[in-house]
Amino acid sequence: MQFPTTGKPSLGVIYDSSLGSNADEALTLALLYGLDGKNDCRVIAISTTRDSLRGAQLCDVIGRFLAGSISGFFGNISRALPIGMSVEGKLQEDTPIIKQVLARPEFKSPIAHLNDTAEVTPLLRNALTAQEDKNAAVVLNGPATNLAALLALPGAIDWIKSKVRHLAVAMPEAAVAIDPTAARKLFAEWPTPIFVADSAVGDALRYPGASIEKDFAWATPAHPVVDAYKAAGTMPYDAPAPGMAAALQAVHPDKGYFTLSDPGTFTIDDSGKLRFKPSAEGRHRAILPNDAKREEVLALYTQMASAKPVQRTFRRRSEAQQEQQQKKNTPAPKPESK
Amino acid sequence: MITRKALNRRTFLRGAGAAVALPFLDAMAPAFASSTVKSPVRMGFVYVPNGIDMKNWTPSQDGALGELPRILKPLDPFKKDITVLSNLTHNNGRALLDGAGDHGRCCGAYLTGVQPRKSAVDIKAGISCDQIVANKIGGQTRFPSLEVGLEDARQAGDCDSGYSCAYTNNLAWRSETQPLPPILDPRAMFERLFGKGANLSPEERAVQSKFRRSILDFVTDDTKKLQSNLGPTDRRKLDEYLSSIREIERQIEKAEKDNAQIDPKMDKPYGVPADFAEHFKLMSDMITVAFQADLTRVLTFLVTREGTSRAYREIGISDGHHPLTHHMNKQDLIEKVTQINTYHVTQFAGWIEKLKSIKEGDRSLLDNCMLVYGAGLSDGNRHTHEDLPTLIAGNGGGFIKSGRRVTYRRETPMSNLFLTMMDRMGVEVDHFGDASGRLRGLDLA
Repeated sequence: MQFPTTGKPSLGVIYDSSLGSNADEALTLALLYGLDGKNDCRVIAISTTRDSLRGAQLCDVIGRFLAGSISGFFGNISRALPIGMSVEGKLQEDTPIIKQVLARPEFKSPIAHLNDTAEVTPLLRNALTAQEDKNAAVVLNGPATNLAALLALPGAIDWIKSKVRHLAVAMPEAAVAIDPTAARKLFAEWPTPIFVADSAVGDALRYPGASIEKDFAWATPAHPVVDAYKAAGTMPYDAPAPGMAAALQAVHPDKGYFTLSDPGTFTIDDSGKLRFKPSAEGRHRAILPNDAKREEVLALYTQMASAKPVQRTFRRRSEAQQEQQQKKNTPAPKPESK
Repeated sequence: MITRKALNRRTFLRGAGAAVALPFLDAMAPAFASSTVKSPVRMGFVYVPNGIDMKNWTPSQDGALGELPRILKPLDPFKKDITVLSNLTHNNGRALLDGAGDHGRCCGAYLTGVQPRKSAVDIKAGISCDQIVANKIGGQTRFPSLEVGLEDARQAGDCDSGYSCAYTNNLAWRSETQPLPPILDPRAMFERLFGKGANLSPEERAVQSKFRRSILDFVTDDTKKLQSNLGPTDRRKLDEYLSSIREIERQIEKAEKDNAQIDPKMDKPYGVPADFAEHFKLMSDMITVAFQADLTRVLTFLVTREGTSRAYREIGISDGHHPLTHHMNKQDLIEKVTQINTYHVTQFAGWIEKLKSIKEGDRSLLDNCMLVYGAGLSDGNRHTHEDLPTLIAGNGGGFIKSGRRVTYRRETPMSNLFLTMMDRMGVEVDHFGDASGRLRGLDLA
């Protein structure tokens, strides 16, 4: 059962990806919304590196479904977020995932024109400025194009440092290859600690394909994440999930779900490969599998990714607090004159 | 060979205690060179409070303006001269952890682009874009900028949930802590523009007015001399210009007389017309003259203070503007908001007509302006800070491709527009407010 919160809001999470490339990107967003439903975090912005309205529509459809607006749970009381879309000319073509999900008549997005999407850098900056200090995290699952652009805004280093607790990155080689310059800039300039989930943790903790067949059955007639998963590979298969590892680490860095490497620095070498060099003063750490937590992590993945949308309650005062406030506002009765 | 000595652009008609600047005349350009003489571009911001009924403001589609929505209807004759911009956002008007106070915040952020400090006494915002321009090019005109308003100019006190009245009652900020209050009194503005005596008390002014002549009487000799050297077109221009100054004087005298007759005990600025439309016209007429005579190129015009509860009885609305905007989607209340919004635009359209009627070189005075008309809130009921109602009248001297609606991408900062306008004024700065870059698609290119 959910209770209204009155204290500090949960961690605000920005999710930037190239949604539509692989199953992990959709699963990661589903995981984040599952954690959001538990009040472990709040999804505050979604953006895509895809320079494609269809890519933005995919983000919108999956995001609104998971937030509850088009899965029919809350009618119009949705938390539909604007979709930040890159216009840097990258990843413009349709993918099997985009085709599959958007082919369904029930998954229609209102995004029809470029101006229905949001400018990426103001969107991300604005989302961060609305957070309390050190109460935001950024999850990157794809090319670094958007975050490198964010770094180029005036004063970005200062407000990222003040608002963001950490950045969690899943950047497969293919994603590095799309924008190596941006990846280099990101690792060189991002001012907070960075957790990096590479293929080692992604392969060790794959998302079980069996879950796709049974855990999402509540969604009728369809669940866009299931559609995305099935379009991304030939069933049955277990999908590599580095993005899920990055997202879980971003939201719960202290729960020991993963083993962390010693500190060091990630760089991109000339061949476009991620390299890690340990150093005591480094701000980066690699996310590694923790065998002791393996089953727990996989259970969390499946439960959270397949969770039904939860209506987020408004933060408000408790009844006792409201009563107290009312008393304060009511003037004391004047003594009767005799 | 034909030669002609050009009249200096800075020529004044002078007399005892008075100096009247001249409008742009053909004689100010060398013979056969008028097309090469560039008229200055003027930048102005006309701000209306409490948001706007967006359903009746926003044109139905992008591109060339067709049938205008109800609130913009008064601008129909000038639709080729306006550009409606959609989706511009002022993030720093949003709460951003500062809680209530959207009216104070949105107005303080409007031209500064920064988040104002929430305080009723320790105010802090940023240098507004008009003042950045005024600081840079203000030396070229008699007044670096003009700040004009039609309502309350109180600077102290808490006007909105802990926000100082300095935020709701000013648009222009000279520094982070120094707003520039608008001039409300037409007489004070007239005397600022054309002569001394702005600080006289009403009593002193009453004594003086017995002997007062038109300011034009003091410059008669200069006027005659100049007229004898002008061609017929310039003579007509000069006559029209001086007549408009005389007309403003008459309106001010009438307002002062009316006020005295209506309620001599009223605690209101001396000479402020009781009628809103008359006050708007008087102030805008003086701004027109100031633009025409190149007395200033930078304007802020706070039509009424942000969060105002002014009633508009002159159009049959006795409820306060601000309470009406919290209409809770009740149709009868929304209707009144729409009427107020339309009434404001009607006054603005009257001014636009005047600016368009004045020739300046090959263009109209309006063509050489960029007048932003807009608000710091879009939906006044919900206090939203995105898709702010914004239009630009004039095309900045041929820079803006007008007659269109342009919809930008969501979250595009309003500061991007102001940065682009500053460029057009010849003032290029690297960064302003929360701008993420220049606004694309505005110009003719």
